[in-house]
Amino acid sequence: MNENVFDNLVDELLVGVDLDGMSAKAKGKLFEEVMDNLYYRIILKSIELVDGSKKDNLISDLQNVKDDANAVISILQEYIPNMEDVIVQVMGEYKEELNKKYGV
Amino acid sequence: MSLDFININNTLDAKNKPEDGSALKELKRYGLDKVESLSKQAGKIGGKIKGLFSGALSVFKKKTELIPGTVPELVDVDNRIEQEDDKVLVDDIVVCSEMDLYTKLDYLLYKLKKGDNLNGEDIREKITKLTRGTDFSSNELLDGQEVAREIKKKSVDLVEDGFKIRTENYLLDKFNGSKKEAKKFVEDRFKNTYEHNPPHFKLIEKKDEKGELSLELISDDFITGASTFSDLEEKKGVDMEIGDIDKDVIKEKQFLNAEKASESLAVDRGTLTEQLVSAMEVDSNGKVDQADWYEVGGMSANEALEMLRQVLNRRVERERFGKKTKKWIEDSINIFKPASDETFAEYIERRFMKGDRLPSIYNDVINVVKIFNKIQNRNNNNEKEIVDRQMIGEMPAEKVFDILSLNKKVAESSGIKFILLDCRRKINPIKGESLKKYFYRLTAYNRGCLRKDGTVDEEKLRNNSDFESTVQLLIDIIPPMNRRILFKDDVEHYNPHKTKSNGSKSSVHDLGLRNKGLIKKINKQYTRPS
Repeated sequence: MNENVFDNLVDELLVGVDLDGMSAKAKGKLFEEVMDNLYYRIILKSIELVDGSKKDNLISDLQNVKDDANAVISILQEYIPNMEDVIVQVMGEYKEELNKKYGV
Repeated sequence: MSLDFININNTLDAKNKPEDGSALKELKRYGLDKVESLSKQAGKIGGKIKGLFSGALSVFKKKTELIPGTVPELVDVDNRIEQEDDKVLVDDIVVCSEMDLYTKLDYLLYKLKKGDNLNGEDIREKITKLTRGTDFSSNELLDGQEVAREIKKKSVDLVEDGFKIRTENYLLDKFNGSKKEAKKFVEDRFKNTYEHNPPHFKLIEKKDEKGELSLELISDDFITGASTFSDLEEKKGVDMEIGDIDKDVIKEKQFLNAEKASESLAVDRGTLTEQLVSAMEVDSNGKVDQADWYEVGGMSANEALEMLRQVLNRRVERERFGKKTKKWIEDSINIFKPASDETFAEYIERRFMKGDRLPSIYNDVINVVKIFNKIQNRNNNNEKEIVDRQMIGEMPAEKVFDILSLNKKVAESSGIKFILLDCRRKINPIKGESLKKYFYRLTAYNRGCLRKDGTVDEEKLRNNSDFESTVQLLIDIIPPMNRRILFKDDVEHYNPHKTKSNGSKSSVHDLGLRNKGLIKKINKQYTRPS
């Protein structure tokens, strides 16, 4: 089940969105866009949640590993033990926005 | 650093929410504008990270499934958090992302009934502990029978009762202010949950070191079904076990231990669910074992339906069922209720006879139960079986035959010679005759000891062999998966007193058994007549 977890995440976020009229290329682009935006939002939210000097440390750590998503998420987990909650939170917000954008 | 939902939620700033597509630009503020996109790395992500996202996805899905058609509740509910203890009580429960609404309400009622004066923090901590990493679709069974009764009793008043005012608001929001709809929702929900699926707990008797009797409510195993308090009261002989203890004390004990039980159940369910998922992957080849079918048929119909309901509650597994099958199961649970003592085989047949034809249900059910059986056996170190080993022998032979003959697919995919139908060609079962008795008569037939009227010539058979005890013994002691030997001709021809053509005596080895332990057991229990 883990193999396609990111596809599944995007699928879930796009539940209700009418993709029928889209070309395969457009769909692929949308999927990538949603996946990437979700990722960026998770990073952004995590940074916002950490305060004080820890925030600077986190940003500094992330700057060093920004090419590697594995390392990025691991670092976020170091600073935020309940990352799963944060992801769920971000997904909820993002889903709501997507729903509005696509008229779900 | 500890972050809970309140911290997260309070940190949320609606104004700072990134516009779609602008999140990367936001990151620029932190010098992270060149973060490599996830889509380009998705194939390289490690299992641990995937696990994190997978867990989040499960929680998210659960939340979106809370009320079909609604968007996640997170944002709505977050805005209603209030820090005053008396108000945060409900909200804390409601906001806990890992529980569904019903569990929250159940738990709340349980706490209130128990008289705990807990603040929101305590409750959130307990709930989080109880539910972490578990199958939330099953969490409505968290509380004990007493709580279930209480909920059933109170559900009608749930949206009107004083202290539940905030729950009322919550529900009203969900139903656009319609009190009637909210009330109906709650009523239906609890009606369905507790009428068809009583909580899986049972009361056991324990003696402490001083020999004093105590009672404990424990979680029942995963699928055997509930032995609820009312069941215990009704069943003959139970009073003997629990002695003359004041019923109120029992109830209190049961109630007080419900939390403990739910805790252990929550953990078990989590583990089992994971195993179920892996087992599904392995066992999705569609192969059906005939022996499995007998186990399924002999199960309590309510029990089988409960299992199916649990599977249907999980999106991944639900997709394995066809549309008609889903409908069939849902109807079984909600409309065509099985009798409490009805086996699944009887239940299916009853529906079938009424024109409800859905042969594919057999395969679906068998596959599911097969998986549950494996899990069950694995988790109990093979010490316990789901179905009473006697069950198969007590099933009506005629019904077994009918069911099997109706489902050619089961027979064909079983890979086992379909001996039962061959048997039927020899003699037909009598109406109501158990499989065990039928085999006895079949044995007599094979030994030339069956009269023309279908009755067994006892004396002749007794003098001829000791098949009755042999067959009985086999039915009693052979593990379910090995019962297939009962359907081999070998069993019918087994005669320990018969001299084979090579001059040697027949032995249990002639049964084709490979299990040495089983052979030893048969030999040990089998007493040759003098």
